[in-house]
Amino acid sequence: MNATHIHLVGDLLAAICLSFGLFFMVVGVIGLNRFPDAYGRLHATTKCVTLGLLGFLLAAIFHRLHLAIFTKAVMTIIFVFIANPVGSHMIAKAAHKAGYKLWDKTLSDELAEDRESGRLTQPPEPHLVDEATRAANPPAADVDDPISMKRAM
Amino acid sequence: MMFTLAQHVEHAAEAAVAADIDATWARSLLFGVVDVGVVALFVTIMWCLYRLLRGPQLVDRAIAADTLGLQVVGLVVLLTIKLESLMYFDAVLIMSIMGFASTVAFAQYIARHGKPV
Repeated sequence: MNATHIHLVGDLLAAICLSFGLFFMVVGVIGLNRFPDAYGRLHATTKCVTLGLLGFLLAAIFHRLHLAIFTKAVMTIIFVFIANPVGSHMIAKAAHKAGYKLWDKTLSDELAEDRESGRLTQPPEPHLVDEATRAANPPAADVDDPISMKRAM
Repeated sequence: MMFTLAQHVEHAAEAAVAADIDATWARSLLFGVVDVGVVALFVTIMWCLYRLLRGPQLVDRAIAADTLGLQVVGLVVLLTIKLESLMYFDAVLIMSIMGFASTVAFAQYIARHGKPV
């Protein structure tokens, strides 16, 4: 096992990782163009593009076994794996709040059901309300609402 | 460990001659995959631009812009592999951070003003 073997195995692993990443990138963009509504498109692109970038960065690591590349690639992988789902979740929540319609054949919309049942409209946190307001409006314990019951306990 | 490996890689050609091992086929395979990848990323970027221009709603444009940013990051990684240079790899982290910031700004805009057409 000398340096040439490491060289060969590294390049081979890089080619495999690159093919993996390319497959997911292409599949993500096909999903972006084929899904019928915005939520389906988010579902397709976010996961696929994150995995595709993971494959690309692993290929860069295996190709150049260098500490500078390794550090930056690992930082980018960690950042993308945290930031890309968060950004897509923000887009989806903003779209739902702005009133974008789901596809006709979508089976359930639990966020809308929770909004309609009032389970998401909670009273403000007690330490954020000043004394006069709290004295004027004592918090009403809603027995039917499980979240308020937990809060009262 | 890593630095010693990198220094060994610099002398890989002489080591291959000394040990009588042909390691160049893996590198040609990798560069072939990189060439295919550049073409495939060109096609996917064009497809994303099509969705960006045509997208029936504002949200579709936001998703296409987010995807496009990460694909350009992938293209920079391919450039780094192809040119065997450490220089361009700094751009990867910067561009992913900028893409996240633009996604957040787009989401804020949609939540405030982005009524469906």
